[in-house]
Amino acid sequence: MSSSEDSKPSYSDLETLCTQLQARVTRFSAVEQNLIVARDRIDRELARFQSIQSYSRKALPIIDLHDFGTLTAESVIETFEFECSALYLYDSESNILEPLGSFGFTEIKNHYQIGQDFINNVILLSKRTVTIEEPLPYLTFWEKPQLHQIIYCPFHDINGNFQGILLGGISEKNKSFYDVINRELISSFAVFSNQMESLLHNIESQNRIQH
Amino acid sequence: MLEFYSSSTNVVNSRKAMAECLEKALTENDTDCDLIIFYSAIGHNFKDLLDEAKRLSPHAQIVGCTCAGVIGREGANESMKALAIMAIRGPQEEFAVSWIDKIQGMNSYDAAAALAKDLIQKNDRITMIHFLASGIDIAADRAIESIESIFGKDMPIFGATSSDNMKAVNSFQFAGDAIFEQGSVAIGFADPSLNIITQATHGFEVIGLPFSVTRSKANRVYELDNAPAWEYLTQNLGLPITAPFNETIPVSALAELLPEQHQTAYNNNHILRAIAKKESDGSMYMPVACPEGTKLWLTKRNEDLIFGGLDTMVSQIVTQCDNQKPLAVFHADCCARGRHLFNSILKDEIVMRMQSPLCDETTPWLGMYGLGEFAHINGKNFFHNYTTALYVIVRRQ
Repeated sequence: MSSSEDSKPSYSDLETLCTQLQARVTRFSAVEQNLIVARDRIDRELARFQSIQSYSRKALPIIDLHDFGTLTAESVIETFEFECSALYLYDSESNILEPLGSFGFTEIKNHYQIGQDFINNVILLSKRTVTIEEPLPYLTFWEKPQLHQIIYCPFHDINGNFQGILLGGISEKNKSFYDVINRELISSFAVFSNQMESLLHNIESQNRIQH
Repeated sequence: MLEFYSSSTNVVNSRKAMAECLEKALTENDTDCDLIIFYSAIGHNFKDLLDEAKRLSPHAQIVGCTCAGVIGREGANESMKALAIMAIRGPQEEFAVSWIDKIQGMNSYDAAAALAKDLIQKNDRITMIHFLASGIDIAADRAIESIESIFGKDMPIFGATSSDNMKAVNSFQFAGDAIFEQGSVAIGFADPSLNIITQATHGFEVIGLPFSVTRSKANRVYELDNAPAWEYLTQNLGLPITAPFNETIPVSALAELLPEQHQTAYNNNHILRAIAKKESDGSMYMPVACPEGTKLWLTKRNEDLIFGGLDTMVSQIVTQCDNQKPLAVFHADCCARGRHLFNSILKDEIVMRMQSPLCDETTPWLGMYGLGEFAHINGKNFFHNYTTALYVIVRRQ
C-alpha cells in the first residue's frame, strides 16, 4: 500500500509538471507566431509584386510626364507602405534634381541643388543599386522635411546617363507608426525602379515620335 | 428612418480615398448625407479625409477613428491606407454624436460620463450607442459602467477601441474638423424602427494554472504572482523582456473567468484581455479594472475553435434576425486576428464566412481591426479582446 501511494505524484510534483507543460505550450505559441510572421512577410512580398504589375498596367497608357510622376509616387506608397515618396529628374546643366511627382511630403521644393558627395558617389559611379540610408550622408539636401529613413534607387536614360532617382521615406515625426525600411524591400524596390525606368523611356520615346 | 450606405478603399491619396468611398457608397452625383462614420488606417492624412468629407457632404456630421485595417463589403484591408465609411441618411432627430478629447485609465469613468451626458442632452430617445474609444490605456469596463449609469444597463453599447495599425503607440479619433489623440466618440442612434443584435466570439483555449494579480491599481497591474508583471509575463511566454511590445500582442492574450451565468451564451468559460500598454517601470495596463486577487490564464489560439465559434455565432445571429435582412452591419475584429493570425487566403475565407450568411453584396458593412471590442453577452454589455464582434442592425417588424 505504501509503495502504491509513493508512486502517486504529489500536488507539488503535478504543479511542477503542469508548469513545465505550460512552458512548452507557450514556447510553441511563440515559435508558431514567428512562422505566422514569416508567412505574412511572404504574403506581403507577393502583394508588392502584384502592386507593381498593377502600376505597370496603369502607367502604360499615360503620355503626360507629370501624370506619370504622380502615379509613380502614389504607387510607391501603395506598394511599399512608406510615408512619402518622390520621383526626381536630374538636370545636368544646373546640377539640380526636380520632382516630377511626389507624395506625402508636407513641403517639397521645386528643385534641389545636389552636393559633390552625391555626384561622386552616385552619379559618377553610375550607381544603379537600391540604397537604404539612415542618416542620409549623400542626401543632406533633404533636410526638410526631417526624414528618418529613406530608400532610393538611381535610374538612367537610354544612353546610360544618370537621369534621376526614385525615393521612398519615413519622417522622424511619424516613424513609430511605420515599419522600418529594411533589406527585405530592396529586391522589390529595384524591380519597381527598373519598371519605372522602362515606362519613363517609353513615354519619352512616344513623345519624341509624336513631336 | 435611417438608411445606411458603406464603402471601403485602399487609395493612397486621402482626399481621393474619401471621395471614392462617398461616391461608391452613395452616388457620384449626390454624395451628401447626414452622418459619416469612418475608420481609417494610420497612414492617411486625417485632415484631408475630414476636409474632403465635409466638401462632398456639407450637411453631414463626421466622426471616426483610426484602426489597424478595415473590413468592408469589399473584404479585408490592413494596408496603411485602408479606409472604410458608413454614410447615413435620415432625420437629425434620429441620431446624435458626442466626443471627448482624452480618455485614459484613471479618468475612464468620468470621461465616459461626460460623453454620455452630452449625448443624452442632445437626444434622449437613443436606443443604441456606437462607441469608438481610445485603445491605449482606457479602462473599458469603467467606461461601459459610466455610460450605463446615464442611459441604463439595457442600452446596447457596440464598437471598438482604436488602433494604429497595431504599433500600440497612439490612436486618433475624429469629430467634425477636430482630431483627438486618445479621445472617444459616441454615436447614438434614435431611430425607433431599429433593433441591434450584437455578439462576439474568440476561439482561444486557456492553458496551465492561472497567475494571480498581486499588486494593481485600477487597470494598471504592477505584479503577477509577486513578481514584476511584464517581466513575469514575458518569461512565461518564452519571450525576452525586451521583445517589442506590439509583437507580443498576438501571443499574450490573458483569460479571465466569465461569471458562470454568461458562459453558455458566450460559448466559452473565459473572456480575453489584451495588454494595452506597458510602462517603463515594468507595470502594464489591462483594458479593464484588474483588482488584486484576479486570476489570469495564459491562452492559446485554436484555429478550429476560431472558425467553429464564428460559424456558431453567425448562425445564432441569423436565427435572431428572424428572416429580416440586415439593414447594416458594424463589425469589430481584433487586430491580432488579421494578418498576425491568418494568411491572405484564410483571412478572405473567415470574412466570407461571417458576411455571406448574413448579407448580400448590397448590405452596408463597416468593420475595423481594432484593439478591443464592445459587444453583448447574454444581453449585458462587455468589453472583449481578441474577438470577432458583429453588430447587426435590423428593422423592427
